[in-house]
Amino acid sequence: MESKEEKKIEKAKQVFEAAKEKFEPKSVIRVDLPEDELPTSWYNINADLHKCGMRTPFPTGPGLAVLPKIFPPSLLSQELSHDRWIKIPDELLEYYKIWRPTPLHRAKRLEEFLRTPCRIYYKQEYVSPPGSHKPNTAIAQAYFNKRDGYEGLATETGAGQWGSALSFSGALTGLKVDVFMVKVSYYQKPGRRVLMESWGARCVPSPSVPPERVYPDMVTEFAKKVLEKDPNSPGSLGIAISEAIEHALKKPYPINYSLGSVLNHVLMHQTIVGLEAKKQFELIDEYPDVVFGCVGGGSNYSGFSFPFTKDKLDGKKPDLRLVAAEAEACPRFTKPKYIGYDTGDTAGLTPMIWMYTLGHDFVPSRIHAGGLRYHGNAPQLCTLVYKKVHEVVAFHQTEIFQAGEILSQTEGFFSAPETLHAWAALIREARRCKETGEKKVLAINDSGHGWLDIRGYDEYLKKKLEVA
Amino acid sequence: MVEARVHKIILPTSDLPKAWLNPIPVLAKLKKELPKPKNPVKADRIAEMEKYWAPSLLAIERSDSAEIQIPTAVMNLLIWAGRPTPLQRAYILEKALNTPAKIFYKREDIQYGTTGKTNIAIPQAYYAAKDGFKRLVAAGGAQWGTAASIAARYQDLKLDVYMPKESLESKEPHRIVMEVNAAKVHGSPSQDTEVGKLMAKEDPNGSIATAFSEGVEDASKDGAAVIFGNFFNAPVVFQSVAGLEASAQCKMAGVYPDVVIGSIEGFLGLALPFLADVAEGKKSGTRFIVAGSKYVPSLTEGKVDYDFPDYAGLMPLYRFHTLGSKRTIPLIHAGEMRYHGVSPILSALVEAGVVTPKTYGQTELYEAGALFCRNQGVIPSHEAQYAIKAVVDEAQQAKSEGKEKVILFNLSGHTMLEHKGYLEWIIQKKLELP
Repeated sequence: MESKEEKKIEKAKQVFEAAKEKFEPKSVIRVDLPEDELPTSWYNINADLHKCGMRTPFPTGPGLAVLPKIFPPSLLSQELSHDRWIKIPDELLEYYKIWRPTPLHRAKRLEEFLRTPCRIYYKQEYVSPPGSHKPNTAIAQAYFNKRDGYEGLATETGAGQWGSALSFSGALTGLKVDVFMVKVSYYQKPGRRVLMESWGARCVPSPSVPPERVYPDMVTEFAKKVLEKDPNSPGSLGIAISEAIEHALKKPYPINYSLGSVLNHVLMHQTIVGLEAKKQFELIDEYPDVVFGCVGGGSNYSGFSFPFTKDKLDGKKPDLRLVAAEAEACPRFTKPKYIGYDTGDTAGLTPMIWMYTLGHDFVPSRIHAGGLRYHGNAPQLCTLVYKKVHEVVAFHQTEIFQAGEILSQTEGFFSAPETLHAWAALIREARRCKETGEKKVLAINDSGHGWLDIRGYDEYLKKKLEVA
Repeated sequence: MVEARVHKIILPTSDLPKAWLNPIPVLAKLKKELPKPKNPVKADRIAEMEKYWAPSLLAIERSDSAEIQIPTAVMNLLIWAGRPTPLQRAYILEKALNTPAKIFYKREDIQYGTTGKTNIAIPQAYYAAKDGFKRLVAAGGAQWGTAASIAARYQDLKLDVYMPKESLESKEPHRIVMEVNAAKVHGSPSQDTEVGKLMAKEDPNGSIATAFSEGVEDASKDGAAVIFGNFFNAPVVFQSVAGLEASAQCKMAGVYPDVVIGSIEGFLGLALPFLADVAEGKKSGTRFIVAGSKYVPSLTEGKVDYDFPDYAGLMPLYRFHTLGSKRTIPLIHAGEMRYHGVSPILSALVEAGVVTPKTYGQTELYEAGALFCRNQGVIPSHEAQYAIKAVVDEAQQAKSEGKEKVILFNLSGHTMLEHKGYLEWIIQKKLELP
């Protein structure tokens, strides 16, 4: 076994050396990682978090008792683990290989446009079939649920990105997926629902009752209660979460619940992005000076930045800057209501978790970056922000669509409104470096494409973004 | 333990093909002369081409040389927009079909424009800029417009897009992409050209053919260059980069395709190097299948004759499988295939019996598309569904024959910018046309 492992390392080194010879760092446009270089373990920051001077306070409250009923044992043990590296099962790697490793791309045309001395690299997470980073955890959650003997997953979705990722993962692993989609989005964005159903999932508007709720086994008491109070309820993510949890607890068939962000194991699954990026930077002899990402629930930014954060916590890269970008309309980090315990959903079914929060009853305005409209954030990331290991900036949506227009016209691709927050932060830094002449390496997680949420761009062009 | 398998064969960016392949010499080796374009009785349409074609592009269109060097600047931009694309093995689909066939697909969908159309747009915009043009006119479908808008930005050129009016309405996200890229989008037939006003009375929904006519008129007015995404030889030349990559990747994987499949829209670029192998006698027995719509049966029911590529007859006459340039094309979802004919090269290949045409109705296409996305993840574009349906048929045949054949097809695009067809399939359940 030992020698086999050594052989593998030896082979990896050879691949690295061969690839290095082909690249000239200054002219490289895209860094591809070979499939056999796909990371085989996730990085669990729980093992190193204490180095920032604090451990994440443990979740509490009556919601804790619900967890074992809606999560499989394997994921719960990941949630609580303090092992630094957690092995990715071989079968799961096979699924990852359908779209991973994703390329690392140099944004040279953007650099030229900004006239910045910085070198800008972005990780192209949009190449996954559902078009975002979300399937990194969706496929892992589907896989572990299937392995632990469950037949389906219930989840909520707002704009539809998470629902799409889980539907895709369910289709590949042979798991049923029941999606409760916020009612107003369900009717506003029929395209998203159609994608989910193309992947074979069942998608219903939340809240609703029969006959609108076409699948009789997906009827919930909570929806009835909400509609009795307000027959015209447009729905919210909080209501949809409560419906999905109720559905998973009722178990019409062996079904669990799945969450797309916030939790430790979700962040850990996403570290595959940062681990790949680190290898890719190594291939071209670079290391980022500043790392950017956008934060809604925290998973894409954490997944990209935690492997780099490790170097900072270990004291290897003390000057490394890590910048999280959020929406001004949902400023839990920049203008929190308080820092402390709050529930993850509106109805209060989940455990109390320690985080920066706007209050679980906070209703953000309807910005286009639906994925950033969450009142709290991942406890692990909150801890790192609290101890000032990570920085936070907030942007108004006009500025982010300006960034989107620049990107489209220079690089040629369309980023999701969520992702554009990170790009806006990066562009601001690149412009600052132009003034100071600093030749920094900027790295960003381009977490998803904007093709399905393109209406925001249209409103930007028609200057209609300033309402409410 | 599962066996570690290679899903994606990645060609390093440094191995991007250095030259395009020209289809005309390939055709000649297959003992098939490409018929020359002709003038209609009253006008010199061939000479007029110089008014709206960039000279460098016209030279490539008329070139006889076997290979055409790819300029370094173009190579860099192709890499920019996502080339080389992976060649992927459809392990999960193979298992679902329980077939002994090995299915490989070229991931043209992961490029910035959501389709392989940037392969054609980027070099055309480059040559037009090199020839000193300041404005481009793109004539074609929605995907072509999106690709052209990306390419035009790369060269800092102004762009007008003429696309079928019906596509403009049903594929709105494409319009937004183009507008973010500062293009002006016209739904053809439009009121913005004289010929558009005339055509609007006869064919209000428009088609690729009406877009061609309007593009020609607009560009001829003030010396802009029209760029085309299909029909002509030059697009086939530029599209060959996909096939050349696939050919190298097949070598890396140690396989050679027994069957090469594409939709009318995505076939030639992928198949060309393999057709060249047959033409040069290096291989025999390779089968080629091109899939089209039963509602637009140009290859199976059209006649081979000289006809106009555009609706109003502003271009020279070419010889190809045609349903008649004035035919009203049914509103199928594959917008890039709403055209009365096929390119003269494809037409000649079908006539020579080298390529076999197949046609499908829309419901079976969506079923094939769903089968693909539930196993391999990517939800295919309407055009790519045609290829997938043909692949599924081939794989099932391989199963009944117990043959382990290698199938290669072009996944020419995904559907994230256009899902109206899927909407009709899932919600309204009305796909077949009268």
